[in-house]
Amino acid sequence: MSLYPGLDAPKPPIYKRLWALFFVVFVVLSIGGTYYATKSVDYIWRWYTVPQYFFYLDDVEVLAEAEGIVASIEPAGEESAVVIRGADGEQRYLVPADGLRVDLDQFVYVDDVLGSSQQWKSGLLIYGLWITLKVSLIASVFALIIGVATGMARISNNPALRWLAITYIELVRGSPLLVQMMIWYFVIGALINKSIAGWGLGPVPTIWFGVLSLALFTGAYTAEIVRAGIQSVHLGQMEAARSLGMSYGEAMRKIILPQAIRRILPALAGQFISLIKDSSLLGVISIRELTKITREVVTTSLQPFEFWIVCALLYLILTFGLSLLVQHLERRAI
Amino acid sequence: MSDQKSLLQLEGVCKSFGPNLVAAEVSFSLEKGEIGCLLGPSGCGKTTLLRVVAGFESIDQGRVIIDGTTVSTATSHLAPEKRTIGMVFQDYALFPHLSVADNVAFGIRNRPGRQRRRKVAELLELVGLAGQSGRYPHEISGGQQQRVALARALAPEPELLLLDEPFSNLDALLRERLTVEVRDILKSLQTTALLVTHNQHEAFSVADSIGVMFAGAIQQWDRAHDIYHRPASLAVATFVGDGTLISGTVEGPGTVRCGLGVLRGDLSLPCSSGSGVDLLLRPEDVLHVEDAEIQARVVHKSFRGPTILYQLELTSGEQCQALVSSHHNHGIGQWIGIVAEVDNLVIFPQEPA
Repeated sequence: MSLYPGLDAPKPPIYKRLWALFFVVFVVLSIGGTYYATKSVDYIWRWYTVPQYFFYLDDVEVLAEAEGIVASIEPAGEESAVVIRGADGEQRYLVPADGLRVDLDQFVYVDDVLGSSQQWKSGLLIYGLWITLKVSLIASVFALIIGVATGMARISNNPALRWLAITYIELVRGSPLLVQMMIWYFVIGALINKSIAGWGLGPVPTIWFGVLSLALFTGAYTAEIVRAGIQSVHLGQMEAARSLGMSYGEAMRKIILPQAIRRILPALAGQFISLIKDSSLLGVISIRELTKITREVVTTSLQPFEFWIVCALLYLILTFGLSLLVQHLERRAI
Repeated sequence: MSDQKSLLQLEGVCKSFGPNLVAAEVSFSLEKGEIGCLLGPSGCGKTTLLRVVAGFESIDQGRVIIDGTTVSTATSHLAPEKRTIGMVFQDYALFPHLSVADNVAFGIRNRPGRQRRRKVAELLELVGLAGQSGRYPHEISGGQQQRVALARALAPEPELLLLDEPFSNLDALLRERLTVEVRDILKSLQTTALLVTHNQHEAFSVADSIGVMFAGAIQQWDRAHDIYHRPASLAVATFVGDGTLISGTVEGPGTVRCGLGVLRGDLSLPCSSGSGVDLLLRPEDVLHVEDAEIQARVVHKSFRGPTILYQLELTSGEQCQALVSSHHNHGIGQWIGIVAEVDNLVIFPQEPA
C-alpha cells in the first residue's frame, strides 16, 4: 500500500506479480547459495542433534543411600515402596513401579540403582532463552521507567535535574555497552559486593548487574525518544490542561505523556528490540543467556552452523513477538 | 485600588519579548458578567495580553487582578490552574485521546460521578452536541470542535472565560451563527468573558465593550457603537469599518463644508470655525440619489451580493466610497448623484501643511 496513492500513474497488474516473483527468487537463491557453499566445504549438517538441546529424555535413577537387604516391596500408587534393612535400621524409597530394578531379599550396596524412570527435561537452549527473556523483560521495565523520568528531567526548568539528565544521557551513549557491562560487574559490582559483605550480606546475583547495565543503557536512548515525543505534543495541550485546573505533573501524566507515547511507539519498539539483542553481550559477565549457551553448545556439539542459525532464529522469535505486540498497540491507539 | 465591581482589572501592564514591546502600559477592566473584546490587527499584542491574563506569560510591569486577587505582577505569578479561568483556544486544543464527553468532563474530574455526568450532559445540550458525547475530536466537524472547546472551558464554571480568536477557523456562515450563540450562552450563564479577535464583526456581535489595540497599546476602550461611530483616533477609525477621509472646513457648531456639500451633525471634537479638518466618511453614509446636486464618477466597484461598494471620485479630485443597493448597477466611468447623510461628524484636525 503506497503512502502517497494517486501521485503516480497506476501500475499494471503484472507489476506486483513480477516483483513478488523477484522477491521469492532472491530469497530462494540466497538460501540455496548458502547451502551449496556449505556443501562445497564438506560441512556435514546434523540437524537431528538440535532438538535434544531444547528437550530431552533423561534417566532418573533412585540410588540406595546405605547398604542392606531389600526387606519389602509394596505398591504405592504408581510407584513402589522399597524398604531396605541394613545395620543402621530401615530406609524407605519410592521407586517408579515399571522401572524397578531390585528383587525381594536382594543385597544392595551404597549407590546401587533401585529403579529408574525416564523424564522429559528442558535443554540448555531453553534455559538460555528463558534467561534472555527474563533479563530483557526486567531490564525493559526499568529502562522505560528510567527513560520517561530522564526524558522529563531533560526538559525540566530545574537546572540540576536537566544537567543530571544530560550528563547521564551523554555518558551512557558515549561508551560501548560491552565496556559498561564490564564496569558494572568488575568495578561497581566488586565495590558493592565488598561493601555489603562487611554488613554480613552475600554478593548480589550477577544477573542484577546485567539487568542494571542494560536498563541504564537503553534508558538513556529511551529518554531522548521520550523527550522528542513530549516536545512533539502541541504546547496548547499543556496550556489547555493547566487552564482547566491541572498541575504540571498531572497534565504531563494525563494529557501529554499518553499522546507522546502513542507517537513514539515505533521508535520505542526499535529501542527495546535492540535491548533484547544487546542482552547477548551479557555472556562476558558470565550470565548464561542465549548467546553464551549457544557458545557452550557449539563447543560440545561441534555443530556451529546449526546452532548459530538456531540461536539467531530464537532471537528473531523474541524480537518479532515484540514487534507484533507494538503493532497491535499502535493499531489500538487513536 | 480595585473597586469591588470589576472582575478583571489590568493596571499598567507591560510585557516585552526581547526588544519587542508587545504590551505598553495596558489598563482596562471588565465588570462581572461583561463581555470584553480586544480588537486589533495581527501582531498588535492582543493575544499576548490574553495569555497574560490566563497566566501563560509573565509580565514586566503592572498588575493583573482577577476577582479581587492580584494574580500577576512583575515579581509574582499565580499558576494558570489556580486562576479560576476558562480558555477557548484558537485551535481549540481539544485532547485528541479523550472523547467529547471526557474532554468536557476534564475540568470537573474531581466532582462526584453523577454530578459530573449531569453537568457534562447539560453543557453538551447547551452547545447542541447532546448526541456526540462518545465521539472523538477528530471525528467531528470544526464547528462542533469549537463548541466542545467552549463547553469544556465552561464546565468548571470559571469566573472569567478567555477566548482566543475562537471563530477564526470557521466558515463565514458558521461564524455568524456561532458568535450569536456564544454570546447568548455567555449571557445566560452570566459569565464574564474576554475575547480576542482581529475581526470587527465578531467583536461587534459578541462583545459589550471593545478595546482597539495597536502596537501593544489600547487606543480606545468603549462600547461597540462608540468605537464605530465615535472613533478616538484616525487609526481606530480606519481599522474599524470601511471609510475614507476627505478634507473639509468647520463652518460653525456642528457644520462642516466639504466636497460633498455642507454637512450637519454632532462634531466628534470641538473645533473652532474656519479650521481645516479631515472628515471620516463611511460607505453607508453616502447615499445614491439619481438627481442629486453632487455628482461623482465611478472609479471602481465591487459586487457584494445585496450591495455594491462603489469607489467614487468627486469633482474636487477626492475619493469616497458608497454602499449602494445592487439594483443600481452603474458602469465604471459613469457619473452618479450622491448625497451624504452623516449624523456623527468624525473629524480629525488637519496637520498644518
